[in-house]
Amino acid sequence: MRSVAVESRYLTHSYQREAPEGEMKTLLRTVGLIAVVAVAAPSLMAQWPDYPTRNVPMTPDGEPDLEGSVPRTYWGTVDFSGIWERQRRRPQGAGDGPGADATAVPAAPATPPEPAAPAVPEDGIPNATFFDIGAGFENGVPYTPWAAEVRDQRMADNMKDNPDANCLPMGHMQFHLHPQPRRIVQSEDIMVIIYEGNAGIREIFLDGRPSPDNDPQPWWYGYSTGEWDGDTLVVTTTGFRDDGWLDVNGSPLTEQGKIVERLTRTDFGHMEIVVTIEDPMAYTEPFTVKVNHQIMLDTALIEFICIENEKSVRFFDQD
Amino acid sequence: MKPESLLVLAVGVGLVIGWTFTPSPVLAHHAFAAEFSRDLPLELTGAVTRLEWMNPHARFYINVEDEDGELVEWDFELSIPNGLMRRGWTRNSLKEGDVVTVTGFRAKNAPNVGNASTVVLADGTRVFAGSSADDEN
Repeated sequence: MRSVAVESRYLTHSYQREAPEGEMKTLLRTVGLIAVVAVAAPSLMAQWPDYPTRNVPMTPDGEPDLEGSVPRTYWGTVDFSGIWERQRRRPQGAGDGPGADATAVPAAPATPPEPAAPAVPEDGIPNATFFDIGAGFENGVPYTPWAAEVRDQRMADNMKDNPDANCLPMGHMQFHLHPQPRRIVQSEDIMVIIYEGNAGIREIFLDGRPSPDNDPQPWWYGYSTGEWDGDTLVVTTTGFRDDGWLDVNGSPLTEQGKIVERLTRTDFGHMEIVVTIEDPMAYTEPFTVKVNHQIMLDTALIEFICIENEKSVRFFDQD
Repeated sequence: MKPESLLVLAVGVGLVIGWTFTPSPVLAHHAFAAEFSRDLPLELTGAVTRLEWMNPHARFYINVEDEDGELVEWDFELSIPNGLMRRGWTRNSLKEGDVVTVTGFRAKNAPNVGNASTVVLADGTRVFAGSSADDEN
């Protein structure tokens, strides 16, 4: 049964708990599950074997309880370990895989879809999007005149210099919002985040060390230290390069930048990352945005060596 | 149910279906417009010569007959292999000799290079489509 449950979860990304409501519903659910697994079987055969994630809380129905309790480490802190993906606005479904009906697929639109502005959550902290860190603000983020000009130029250049488009580390916010997943590995003294996208690796020191004050070499990832505020991990990063991109549209981050991330695992399956950006060169005042992640079960990161067959850059419009 | 309600329901269902199955053009590693133009849509049919199942984008090549009857090889960019694999596609989903019809967009600065939005085999089977819809939301 475990393998069937795993396959259906993997295919649908539907983690909702369902309460049993009579035999007919149970029968329908069973038939539905069989159908899903039957449709999925050919494509799932093509994957490497899924390996079940251990210690997943389960509902009485045998489904993962994503609203279950937050796991803790043996030394007492919240345990963020696992593979995470940014929360999707729509589920990734079987309609994208082999066996889908070609006639149901219209040609691509001539104009790009307008990404909808994310809804402002109850706590009032705007959600950032991959393309626009200020999408949730009525008037965008508070650029300095210099930063507004930089962003405009980057957009006018069709974002050809976005680090991500050149197989380079894409910065904290693009990493947080990238469609490819990331794995958190946590010990008492360090948290490591392995980003599948562009094979990024980030170290966050939890051993009490201060941020360096000896004019360190600026890094793509900066230098991150974390401390616990109750069950929230507060990560402070400084020491960034001067040419950062906070989003695909090119909102700048400079050497004067400081990023504070507050990571809260709200339940077993969800994590909120509240990010405050402070950079007097680029922004007239600090601003705060939120990113929502959800857990991915029974899967693994897939190797991503960006440069192995990079052929896009040579075609970029250099005008 | 009132006719107005039915209409609203029909439109709603149609929107949901359309939204779910509409593929977005594959992003050129998040700099689509630096490489391709949405003002240059294409639809081409040809036989597959090879598939490169590699990062950062899967690519495939097809021979297309030009106006003079000569075969010209076109180079098409897809989404990243990792995303395609998570949807069940593999390096064996498209084989040399398969005849496909591709819709997508031409590169601005390179002849015979395109970005594939939909790829359909001769028997109507769709491959790889919907490949980067999640990149934009």
